[in-house]
Amino acid sequence: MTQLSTSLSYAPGKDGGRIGCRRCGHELCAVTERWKDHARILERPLRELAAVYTTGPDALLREFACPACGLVLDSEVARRDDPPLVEYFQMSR
Amino acid sequence: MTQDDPITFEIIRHRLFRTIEEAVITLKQVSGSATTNEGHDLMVSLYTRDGDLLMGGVGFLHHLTSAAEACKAIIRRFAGEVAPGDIYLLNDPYTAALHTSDVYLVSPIHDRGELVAWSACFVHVNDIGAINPGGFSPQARDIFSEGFSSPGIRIVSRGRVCRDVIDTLLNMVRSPEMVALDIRSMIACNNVARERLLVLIDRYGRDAFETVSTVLIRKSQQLLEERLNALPDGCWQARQYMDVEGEPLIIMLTLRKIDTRLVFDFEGSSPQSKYGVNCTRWAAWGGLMAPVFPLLCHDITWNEGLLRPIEMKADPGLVVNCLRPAPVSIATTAAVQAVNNASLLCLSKMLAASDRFRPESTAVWHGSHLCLYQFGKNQHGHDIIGSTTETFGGAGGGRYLRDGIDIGGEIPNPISRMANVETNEAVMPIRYLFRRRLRDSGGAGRFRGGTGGEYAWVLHDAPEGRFGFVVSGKGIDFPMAHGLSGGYPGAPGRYVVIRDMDSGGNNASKDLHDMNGRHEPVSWGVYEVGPRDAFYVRWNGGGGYGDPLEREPEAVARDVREGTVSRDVARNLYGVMMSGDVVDLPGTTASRAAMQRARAGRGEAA
Repeated sequence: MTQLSTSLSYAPGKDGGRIGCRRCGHELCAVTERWKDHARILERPLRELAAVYTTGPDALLREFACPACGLVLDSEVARRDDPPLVEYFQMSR
Repeated sequence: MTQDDPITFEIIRHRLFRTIEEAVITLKQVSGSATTNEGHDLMVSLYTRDGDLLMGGVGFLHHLTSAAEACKAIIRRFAGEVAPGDIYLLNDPYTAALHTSDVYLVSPIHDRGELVAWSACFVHVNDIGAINPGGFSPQARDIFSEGFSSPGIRIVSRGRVCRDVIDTLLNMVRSPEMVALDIRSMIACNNVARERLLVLIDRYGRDAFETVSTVLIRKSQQLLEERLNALPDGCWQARQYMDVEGEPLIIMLTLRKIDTRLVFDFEGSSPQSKYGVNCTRWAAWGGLMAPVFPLLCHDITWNEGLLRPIEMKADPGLVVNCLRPAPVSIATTAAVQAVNNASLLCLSKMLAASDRFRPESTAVWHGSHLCLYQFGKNQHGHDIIGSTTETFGGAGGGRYLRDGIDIGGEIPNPISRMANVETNEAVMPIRYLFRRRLRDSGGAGRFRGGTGGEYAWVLHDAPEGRFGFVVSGKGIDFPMAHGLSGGYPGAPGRYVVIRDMDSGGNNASKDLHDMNGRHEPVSWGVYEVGPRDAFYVRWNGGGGYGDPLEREPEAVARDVREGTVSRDVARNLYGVMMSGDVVDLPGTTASRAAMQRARAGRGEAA
């Protein structure tokens, strides 16, 4: 088992291997798929974080959480209609 | 001398770097500018006879590659005319510079009459004659309003200063005595670089110098390619929003790593703007490369060899590759910085995919500069323009195994710092009410981002009863110091003019909320602070690294005790419950479990 980031793990297997949650081991998808499609997506206005987050109304915190244990696997600043950032791992090497 | 003599090789390599360091010391000692001396808004590097980067120095790393292009532009423009002792000035952004205020001085270095190398340096001059004082020009709508701009002009000819040329430049700027000092400091800097390099060549021979130069570049390329080969292939994206007058511009960056190549692509970025937040292609390349040097190549000599495995794709007309005459005066703190942030994020995501290199990954440091210039008559009766340099204080991003450093600088300028308040009060008609770390501004994370800061000042002994400032803020509506691997972004910046305070200039407020006047948020334009007003500024914190619920509860409690995190944030973002000043461990365990269940869609947060 290796890690693809601080929060994602990789295990060799079918379809080039599987991406999972680093903490609980929950399997998200094949490494050839977009793993974020298999995570829980949570969005909230950044201004809800704390009083010093005096951000505009369109600025959101988008979190991708493990559907099994709730670990935040990744996060990004986004507007509601902007697509999630792409992340793709080529594990053949 | 060949590679077979590794000791001499290392001595020459080290002396090349020391040559730059000594030139930087000279630059600072001659300069009278706080921006140069305190903020270290400078760069000195050495280039090959063809203008390729030979030895990158310290200072703003965005400039290492742009100054190479400046050398090449001078080589093309003055072909056959370059003489020993010449010095050339170049500050046209559409030729090589980042913006008109960052003036390059480029010097050929001749050994016994033969061109062997170039030295180049820059400082942000106090003024460049743009529509707004200080060079950052929110009111400019084209390059023609952004001041003096030269694609290359000789200011020293065979060792003799061209007074007519320099006087013409000084006649076009607001603060000629300070700009004259800026230029003198750069001339001195280049003279020292030339003298020291010639001493080196005299000691070890020109053949040895040229052999080491060639080998260093080849070796850097080889080492970077080996490093890239050890990293996994993949594709990573980052996105930055630059809010300008309520309209966010997008810098979209995709990094594709294949074997020993990195390809950065700006497809999806916004078209160029009517405001001066755009940057030219050379500036984008500089912003892209700046994080590469410290993140990927901290143990490799910074030179042309590091550029060869890397490609940038940016269509003309984008905000990161604007077309003349689009305005670019704010580029360094806008598009260039956004490119830097996006590049850092893509690189860090790639590094985090490797067990070996994960410790090098980091969230964004200091996502947005304040971009703030004050101007007016000071207490000594002089017309002054200047930055109070807090913007260079920055904020460290959270790292794989460590918190970001509070007010910890920035990635593209490892030596930046800010002036003491007394330094600023000595030259500006202002009195600070407070300056400190900003609670809750560091992005939450397993390792939190470093805090940004906040300060406020009122007028003090201002002979005209007013003091102006130019602001071109970004990172106001959208934070730009993004987190990594689940970390949250640092808090955004903010500027507020507090008008008509009851206590006027005698105000002794210690907090923005204590200031009982009319609060006027500002972020773009030219304003004045009057005798009954105060000016409050907040700068952004660094991004967090990792899930905040994985942060050690005791680390959160320590932050609360030290005042860098509030109890509300400890509870709401970190799930840490406290009893007095200590962690309530059972309460924290229960709180975190409830928050994690809610994230997983299996219940509500407590």
